[in-house]
Amino acid sequence: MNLQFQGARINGIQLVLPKREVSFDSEASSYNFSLQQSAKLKAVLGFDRRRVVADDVTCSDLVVAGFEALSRDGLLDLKSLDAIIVVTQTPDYLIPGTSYVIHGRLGLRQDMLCLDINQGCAGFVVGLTTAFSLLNQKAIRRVALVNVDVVSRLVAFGDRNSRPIIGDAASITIVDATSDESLIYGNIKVDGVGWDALMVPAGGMKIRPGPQTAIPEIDANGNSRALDNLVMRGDAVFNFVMKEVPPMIHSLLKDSGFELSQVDGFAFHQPNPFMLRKLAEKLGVPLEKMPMDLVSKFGNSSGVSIPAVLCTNFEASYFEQPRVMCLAGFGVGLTWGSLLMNMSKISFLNVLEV
Amino acid sequence: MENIVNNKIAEIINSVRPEIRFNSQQDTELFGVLDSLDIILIVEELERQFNISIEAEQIVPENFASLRTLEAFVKSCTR
Repeated sequence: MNLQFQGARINGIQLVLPKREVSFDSEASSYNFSLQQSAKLKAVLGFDRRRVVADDVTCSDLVVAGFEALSRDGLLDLKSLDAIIVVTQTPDYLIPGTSYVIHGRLGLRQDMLCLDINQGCAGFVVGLTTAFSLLNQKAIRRVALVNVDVVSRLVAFGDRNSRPIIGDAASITIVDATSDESLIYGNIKVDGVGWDALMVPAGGMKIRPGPQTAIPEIDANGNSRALDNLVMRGDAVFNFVMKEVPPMIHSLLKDSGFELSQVDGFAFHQPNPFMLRKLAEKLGVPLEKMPMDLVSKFGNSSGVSIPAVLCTNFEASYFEQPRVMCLAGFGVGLTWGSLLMNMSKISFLNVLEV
Repeated sequence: MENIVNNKIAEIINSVRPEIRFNSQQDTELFGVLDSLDIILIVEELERQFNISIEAEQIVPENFASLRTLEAFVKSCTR
C-alpha cells in the first residue's frame, strides 16, 4: 500500500554498537571453509568483522546506554519524549514488552505511550511509519523510535548461512513534529505465506523451549542448528528480495513524482554486498549512492541496518541542506517497505560503542 | 567448445562445494544441494570466468535446477 505523511522529521539518530568484535577469519575453521572459499566469501558476501554482544547483554542494556549518552551529551531531554516505539525480534522477556523495561530503567514520565513491534529487517521503515502516524496526535510532539536486536544470541555456532553476517546493535531515532509541510512517501507490503523463511521455531507458545529444542541437527548443507536457533531459508529470501524490491522502489518514485536521479542517497537494509549490488544494478542506482559496507564492518543488524548506514556513511553536516533520501527494508514476515523523504537539519548522527 | 564450457562450470561448482564431486558428463541435481551462499559464489565466478552479466531475476531455481539447466543458461548468456 502507498502511504503519505506530513509534519514529521528525523531530528537525530544515535547508533549503539557493542565494542566486542569478532572476525570471520577467526571463525572460518568452524564452518570447514577452505582458505580459497574464505577469501571468496569475504570478497563477495562481505564476511569480515561483526559486532556482537556478550552472552548476558540484552536489548534494553544497549538502548539504555544509548539514551543515557544522549542525555549526558545534552542532545536529548528524556522528559521531552511523548512516545517510545521499540522494534525488536529479541526482546528481554516474552512479557512485558521491552519498551516498558526501558521506560522503567530510564525513569521516564508516566504521561507517555510505550509500544513494541516485532519486526526485523523492515523494522526501521515500519517503525518510522508508526512514529509518523503517532505524530498526528496533538499530544505527541516527539517520538523515540528504538530499533534493537541481539540476534547473535539466537544463531547456531555451526550455521554458516547466518552466523558470519549477523551483528548486534541498537539505534535511537528521534522523530519530531514539524511545521514543514513537505510530504513523506511510503510503501509497505507483506506476504505472510513466507512467514517461515526467517524464523526461530522454538521459544514461543507453539513450541516451548526445553532440552529437546536445544539439540542441534545437521541439515543437507552441513549447517548445524537446533529449534532454539534462527533459521533462514536464504534462497527464499534472496528470490523475494530480487523480485519485490525493485518494483517497490519504482512504485514509490512514481507515487512521489521524483526521478531516480533526484534521489541523493539510498539507505537500504544490508543483507550482503552481493544482493545490494544486484539491486543497485537492476534499479540503475549509481553504486556510490548506495552504501553497502555494513556487513563487512559491523554485521547485518536487522532493523538497525538502515540507521546504522546513515550514522556510519553520512555526517550530520551533509544534511544542512535538504537531501532526498530513499530508505528500504525487507525481510522477516515477509515484509518489504520503503520511504522517500527530505532529510535536513539533522542534529546528530552519532555512534556510541558500549 | 561445448565440453570446455561444461567442464568449466563443473570446476566452478566443485571449487565452491569441494566435498561434492560434480562431473560434467553427468546431469546432477543442484537444487536442494546448493544453498543460497553457494549460488551467490557460483554466480560471481560465472560472471568473472565467462565475462557475462547475470541479472538478479535470472538467479532463480529454474536456471540452477541441475548441471544441465545451468549449462544451458550460461550458454544463453554467452551468445
